[in-house]
Amino acid sequence: MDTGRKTAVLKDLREHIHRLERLEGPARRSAVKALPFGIPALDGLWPEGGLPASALHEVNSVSAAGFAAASAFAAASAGRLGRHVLWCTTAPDFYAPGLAQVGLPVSRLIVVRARSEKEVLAVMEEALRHASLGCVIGETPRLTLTTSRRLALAAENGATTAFTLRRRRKDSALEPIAAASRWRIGAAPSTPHPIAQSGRGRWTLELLRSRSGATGSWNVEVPDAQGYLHLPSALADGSAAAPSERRSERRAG
Amino acid sequence: MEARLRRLSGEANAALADKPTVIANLEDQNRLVLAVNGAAAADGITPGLALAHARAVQPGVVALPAQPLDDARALERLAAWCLRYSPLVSACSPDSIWIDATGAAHLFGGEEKMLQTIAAAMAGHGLTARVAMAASPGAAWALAHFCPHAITVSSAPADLNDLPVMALRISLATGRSLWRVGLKTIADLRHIPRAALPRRFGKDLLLRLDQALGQAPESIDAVLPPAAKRKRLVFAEPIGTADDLKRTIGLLAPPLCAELEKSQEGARKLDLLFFRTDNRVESIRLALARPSRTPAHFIKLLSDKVETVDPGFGVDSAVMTAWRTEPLLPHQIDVDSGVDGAGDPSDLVDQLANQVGARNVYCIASHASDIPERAMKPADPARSPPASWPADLPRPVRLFSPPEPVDVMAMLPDHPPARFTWRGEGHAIKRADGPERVYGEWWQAEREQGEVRDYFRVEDEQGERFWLYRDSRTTEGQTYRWYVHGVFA
Repeated sequence: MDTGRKTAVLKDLREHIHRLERLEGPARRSAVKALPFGIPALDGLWPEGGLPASALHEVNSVSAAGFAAASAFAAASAGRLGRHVLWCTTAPDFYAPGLAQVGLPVSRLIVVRARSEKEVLAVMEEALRHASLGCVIGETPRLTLTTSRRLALAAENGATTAFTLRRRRKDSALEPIAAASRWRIGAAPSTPHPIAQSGRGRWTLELLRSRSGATGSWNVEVPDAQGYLHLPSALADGSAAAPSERRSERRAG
Repeated sequence: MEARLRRLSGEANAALADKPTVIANLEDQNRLVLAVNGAAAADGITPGLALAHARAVQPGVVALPAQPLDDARALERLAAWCLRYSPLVSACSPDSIWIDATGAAHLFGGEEKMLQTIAAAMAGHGLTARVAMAASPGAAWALAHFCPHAITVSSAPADLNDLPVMALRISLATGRSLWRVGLKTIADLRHIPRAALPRRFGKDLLLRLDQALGQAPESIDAVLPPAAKRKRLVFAEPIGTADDLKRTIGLLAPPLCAELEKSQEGARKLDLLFFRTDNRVESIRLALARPSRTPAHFIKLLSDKVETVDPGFGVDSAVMTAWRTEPLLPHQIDVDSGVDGAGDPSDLVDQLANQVGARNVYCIASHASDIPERAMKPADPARSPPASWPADLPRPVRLFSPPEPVDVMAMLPDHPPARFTWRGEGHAIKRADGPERVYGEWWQAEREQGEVRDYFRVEDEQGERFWLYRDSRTTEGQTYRWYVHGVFA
């Protein structure tokens, strides 16, 4: 009884401090706190048990195929959230049938074609603050510390997940931004398949930085139609090399 | 802008169309012909002729009695119909309609396009209309009535110079006396000293001249849409600041929404008119993605546009109209989140549509086509149509439009290439699936008749996966061209 009251008081105080820190009204309670990948090695990196839901995440890529992978990563994550998704870009060249195959139900997708990069950011911020969406995805080549902080705050206040997709040069340095996690995705040779000529695609998924401090690199298979990534099955090709690959993953996690 | 209904023939049906028919003022002693149809005009009968004279020219002429009251009522109805083009429309008896196109023309793709749209719609009603756009109502009236073209867009007052003086909406008597002294065109009038005009021809002439040239204001009686929910607010003192205008919106929206709630309706189209003290009207028009009657939503959207309103010397009344409504049942409050309507993005869609343009906010619907770029098409976000595609055919997440040509090195004619160069980078192909053959849709366009594409899913040594296709049109002595159409995740 006594301990129960104590925890309740502590909880109140924590919420109070959180509000003071953010200088905002009562933070909206989000139904979804985290966005689990369904892969223990990845989900264990965050205390929430998955990618923080009300936060900004940055997905980098260095090539056209990497950008497609980054789009699919964001789309799959958004699809798992189960609410409406807003995708804002200056050049909407994504292909809805392909997005549906990585787990984003297109009936929940709202597309906004912005006329400038600045408008992408403005639309993202407004959509995040509106708090009626599950996820907002924006394609922004440039992002500064200030703009990223605005987006991160909007994501937190609106209890909405935000992804920014960015294409950058191979050698460009990672500038500081206020994202809860920063990823880099590139293509990797697909799972060898004994019968068909090419198997399920694979990515090299790198967590460059995250608020929890964890980093790592994984070799994963592209999302399935439900939006879940998979670690490549060790027995898929029946080779003896598989166990060592698994060990390296565990170390990275 | 002004649309002139040249031949008011409400009951002129197909049977009468071939016969020479006139509408004449049968109750008056002079029995003047007021309007003629095409067949009568071909016989040389013009409005203004005595009916007896017309009968002498063409004995078989059919004379119908003039019904000025019915005509005026029909014109009012047509003016109300024209509210689809702009929130500010006025009927100008006996045969004209003014449409204030300020800020409306771009919605139709420009001024010329807007006039064409209107002319086509009038033709659809069975009306012969002449439409003109100019800087002032008077100039538009003049051009619509006297310019030889059916559609006229005027940019400068000089366009009026060659028109006859009757284009100034003056009485026939004034016109005759001007004609007698040799003042035949508007240019003639502009060249003589102004002071001499009122003494001889009355004050009306100068006023009409100034109105046509846009130098004198002209008040137009706005037509309000019939059977619409509206709320009016009249101020004791004229208001002018943006804050006051916003406060007005805050006062008008809640009672309007309460009225909508009573009839279980929601607004799809909303107009807000500000009536200025100098008899001009400023307007804001909104379209909503979904029927709504949330005051806060209306206030937010309208307040965002208040900057476009020029209050001039002050606004003395305001009218908010929900002129297109749809049934909207009372909705439940979501108990889980505790926030009314959270999770419904239609408000957001409206806000963004106002910000970036309604065409740039859309949903995606599936379209039954084998041609990859046609398999999806934009759709109205309010409808959120179902979208589904075959799940067993792998599709890329990014699709290039148009497909980008690539240089390939193919070993065998019907096999996927061994290498290809795209955007200056070489890719050696390790694995490939295919072909998936797609035929052109010959029922869409003739040039698609022979079109055949063979799609291959290829993977290079880094694991990057592309969607290549070979344009397999059967041409003689030519090598096939290859394109990259998309990138897989």
